[in-house]
Amino acid sequence: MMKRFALSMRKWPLFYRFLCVILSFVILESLVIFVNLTHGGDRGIATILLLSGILAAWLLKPIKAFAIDICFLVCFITIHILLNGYSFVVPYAISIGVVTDLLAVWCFVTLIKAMDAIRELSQVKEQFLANINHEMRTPLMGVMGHLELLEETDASEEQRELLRHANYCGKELERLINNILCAAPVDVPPPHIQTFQLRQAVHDGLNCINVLGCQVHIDVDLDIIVSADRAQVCQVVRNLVSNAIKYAGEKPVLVSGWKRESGEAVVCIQDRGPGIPAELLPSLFQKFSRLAYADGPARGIGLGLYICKRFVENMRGRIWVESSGVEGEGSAFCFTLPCAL
Amino acid sequence: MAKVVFCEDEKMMQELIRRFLRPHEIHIASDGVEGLKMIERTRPDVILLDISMPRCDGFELARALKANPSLANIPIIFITGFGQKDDEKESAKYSSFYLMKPFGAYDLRTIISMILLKSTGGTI
Repeated sequence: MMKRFALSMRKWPLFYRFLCVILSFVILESLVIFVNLTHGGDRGIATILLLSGILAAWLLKPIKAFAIDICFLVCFITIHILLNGYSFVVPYAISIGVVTDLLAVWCFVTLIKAMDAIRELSQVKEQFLANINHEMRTPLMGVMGHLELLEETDASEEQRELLRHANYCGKELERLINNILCAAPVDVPPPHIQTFQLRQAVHDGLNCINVLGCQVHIDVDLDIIVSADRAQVCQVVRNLVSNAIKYAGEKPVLVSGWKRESGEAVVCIQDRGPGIPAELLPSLFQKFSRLAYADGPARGIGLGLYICKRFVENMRGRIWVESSGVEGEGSAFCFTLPCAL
Repeated sequence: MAKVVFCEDEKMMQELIRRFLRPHEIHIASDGVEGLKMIERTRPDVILLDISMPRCDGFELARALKANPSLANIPIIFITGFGQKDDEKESAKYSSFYLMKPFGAYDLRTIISMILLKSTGGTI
């Protein structure tokens, strides 16, 4: 709710600024009329209010917003005189009204300016992330490309094994870079929907993952054709399997996929790791949420599951986790995708 | 065997792609302006364009190519490091291919053999 409000505020800043000003005007104008009625000619109260108003306005002065405020001020004085009349309002009351109105406008303008500044900062952050991404991709391409070329030479079995490990690390680095890139924008990039065979995409997503003693078994039905974003599906599967490997260690990880009668495809990534305590399940898919390991601190940047959820939901699917939290029973991360046929 | 022109400012990438595409005939230009001259001179079968280049970027070069009827039909493969959807949309305008770094030798070779197969009248 708050997020939606903030987004609409961002979309129509002028409209909200206007709304704030009108609201403050209504509230303060009624306050001024109230003070006038109850303390008609009381010089003391009027002077104190006037002085505190001036002090507060001086403390809060946002100089750049001054030009806009002068316009508002002229409108306020006119409306004030129209509403209260010269005869009814003693000069003090006019001053109080004007100063408090001005103060209110200044407060709201400061608030809106602060929000603008935050938005600008967030844009700078996004641009920065996009730039580092670009800068990191080129050297990564150099590493991965040369590894691939090395594999094509007649290397010994031991050298090939080493190359596979290096390749795996490269793939992991690529996955992290992709995660950072996807988590950066405020607006989710729309999926590029294609029709493809799910099994092949899962295999591509898990390219080079079976090294360092992990055992990933893939059992996805051959006849599932889904309509989704292929690159995003690969990324989701890789994120989920990487997580499973991180937590399950050398115990096997099973990736299974089947088609439901309702016409959606389900993919489940099941591990035999320590499982997830029930109290942590709700926050699992949030940004920067990380789980501590049984034997040490949390690792990773906490973006993997957040991105999985965003991607899957954008492709009209659902994602969830099943875990009893019992040691050895592990957990299962499942998601659905719409089938094309 | 295909004739390929590759425009890229980074030395490392130039060498890597040269090795990826062995034994195809590959001509390398280090910016868009040089690339356009090289394309006019060599009339390649495929053009590989890095999107961010000094002097004249990949999309500008592609626009210049499309404006020239004798070069408009040469297939283009765009290479980008940004991985942003805008680039993908923009490159789709030139009915071209799009590769995001890091990509493998296999990906590039597959696309090029697809293009060659199509240009010799085969079906993909």
